[in-house]
Amino acid sequence: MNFKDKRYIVLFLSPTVILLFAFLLYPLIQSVYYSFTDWYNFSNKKTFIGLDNYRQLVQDPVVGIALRNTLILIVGAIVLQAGGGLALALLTASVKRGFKFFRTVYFFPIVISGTAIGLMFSIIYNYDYGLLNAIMRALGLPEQVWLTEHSSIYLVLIPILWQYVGFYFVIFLTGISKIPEDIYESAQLDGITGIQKAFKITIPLLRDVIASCLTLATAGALKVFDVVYIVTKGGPMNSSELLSTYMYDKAFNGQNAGYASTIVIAMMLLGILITVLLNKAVKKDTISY
Amino acid sequence: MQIRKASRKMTVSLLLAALAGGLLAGCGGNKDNAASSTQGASSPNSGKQVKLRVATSFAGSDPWVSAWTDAVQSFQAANPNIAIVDESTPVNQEALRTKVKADAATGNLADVLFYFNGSETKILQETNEIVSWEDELAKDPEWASTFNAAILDKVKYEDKQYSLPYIGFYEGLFWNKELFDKHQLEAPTTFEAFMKAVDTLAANDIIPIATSLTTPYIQEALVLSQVGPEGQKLAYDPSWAPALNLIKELSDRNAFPRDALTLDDDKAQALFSGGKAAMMFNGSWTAVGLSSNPAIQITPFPLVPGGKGENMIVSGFGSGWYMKKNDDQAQYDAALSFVKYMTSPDVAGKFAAVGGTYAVKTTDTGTTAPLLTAGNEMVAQAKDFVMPIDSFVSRESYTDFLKGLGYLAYGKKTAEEVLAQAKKLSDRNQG
Repeated sequence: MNFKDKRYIVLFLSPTVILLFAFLLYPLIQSVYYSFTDWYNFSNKKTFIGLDNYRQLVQDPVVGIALRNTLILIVGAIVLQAGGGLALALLTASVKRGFKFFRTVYFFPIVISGTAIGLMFSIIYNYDYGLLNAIMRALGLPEQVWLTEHSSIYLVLIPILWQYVGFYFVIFLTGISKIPEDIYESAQLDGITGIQKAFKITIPLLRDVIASCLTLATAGALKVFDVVYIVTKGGPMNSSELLSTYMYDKAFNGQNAGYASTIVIAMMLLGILITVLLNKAVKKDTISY
Repeated sequence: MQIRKASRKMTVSLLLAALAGGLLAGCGGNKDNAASSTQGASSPNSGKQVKLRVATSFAGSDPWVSAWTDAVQSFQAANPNIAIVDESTPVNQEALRTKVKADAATGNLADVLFYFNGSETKILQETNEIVSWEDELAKDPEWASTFNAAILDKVKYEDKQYSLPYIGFYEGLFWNKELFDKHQLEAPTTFEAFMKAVDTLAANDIIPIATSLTTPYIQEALVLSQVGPEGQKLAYDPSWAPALNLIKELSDRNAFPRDALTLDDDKAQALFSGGKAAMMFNGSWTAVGLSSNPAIQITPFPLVPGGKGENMIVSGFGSGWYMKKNDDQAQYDAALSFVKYMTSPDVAGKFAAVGGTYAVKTTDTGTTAPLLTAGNEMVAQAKDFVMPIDSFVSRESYTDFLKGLGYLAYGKKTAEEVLAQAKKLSDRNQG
């Protein structure tokens, strides 16, 4: 590479580098510093307290609940979001008619904001005016308190899964469309069935796409905030708390930005750890056809 | 070759510097423009354009939004040289607190604020950027005379008048007379009548008290009724425990909506206004929406057995007008004239028609609803007033306290545990 090329590389990369530094890296470095401070009310007064916030983090029972819920969300995202997207894509790919209709219907929830979806589901789960209890009444069954200590995390999982399943569906559908038709044709000559086609040809050849989707689903699950906050605010009794909702609660409702920064660092480390592990687990030779 | 290399390096460096400079200039540009656009103006009516940033709580579902919007429009019509930049932010989810605190920390406070008093005044005072009103009140005795002197005194911080009180609030027990009459119940003015109503209503599939257990109102009432004004000042004192245990007792008697732990305040209010619930303990800001129903009555929370807070209410002037110091005289004058306009009897009268009690003289618009008048009478007859608990404790301890009450209502924590945890957080941050 000659010098002239390098000059342009620097020139064209610099806006992104500057923006990334200003709005991502610099705040991140600051957050690491804040996580070692006593910082309340977003004031200018910050007191260095060493590892006290980290000690509190380890002893905080709500952090334990949030970690458990985050893991439930990750498993749900991998199995039901990415898995559901794959299942829908496999089913739709073989559909002769209405392909565009299904693609639009499954993809549609993505364009609705998380806040709107959250509001919709909070009304669905409402005890007195909610849709679910209206159905129960219509069926002559007793009304239920839907969002309880034991059910809340699973019930907030439903809108999150519903919202993003279409995203993975479209990715898998694009992946399937790249698989050469002649592979299927030759298999058909050998008498392959529909299910065998999916498990012996399509899924193995989609391995790269599946690996990417698993990483995306995991990273997406770590970032979930809006729907959970709107539907339950992390309650009842912190039972649906995620690290993100707990961090928000501490930072903005509790105005304790020092401890909230510690939760942010924990979230970041957890995200890096899970992504690295996942990448190692799914890393194999790339498939070419 | 060396020279060409050096010149290329220089070109890249210059381009990068220009780019970085452009970004930084973009960030700071607003301030510079605002400053230059106002320089040279000498008064609000001098003809020079002044941009006035105002941050208030009159936003979102706040009942005074329309009165505020009308007032801003009429001020702008009368002062075409002053452009109001309305940065009003809802108080929900602490959005206004976060905005103002972040503005204060970054030296970016709005010119005029309608913001909380008490512990929040301290945060603004520490910036050394807000005006203490004594001089301006002394310069304009006519304007000063429109304020209630006793209330002015109540909102002083370290003997300084940083805040001009405006709309006062009260909290009371709203009850639906129609539902009470239907079930032959007495008005909930005594604790016995209140508890009898709870049991009877619950047995008849009517929610006795519309409340979300994530909001502070019912526990404020119980604590004040139990320990009185002196005891209420002792934040998270073990003497509060009997009051908190009543929350557990009420929960056990099905006094609250079944989903009180996840319900928000708007939905709780809807249960009461829709006739599904018979009582609601809430603030005067909800009275406006309820005033169209003549069956809705208001009374102070009844005295709990062994309590010290008979006929005492949570009330006060939780917010007030603040003004930023400004070296630019035109900007300062514009801000001052805006605050004077907002606190004038005519404008305050339009706010008063919506509800609340006022620290300034108001022109009667003749449209005040009977429920709002009853609320004001309740305030007039109260033996004593206290500010809400969250006005004198740290936010972190208070949010933890509120969450703890959910655990308490469902028997997962004792009152003593909830109080001890909140006290621990409060001691750590005397914010």
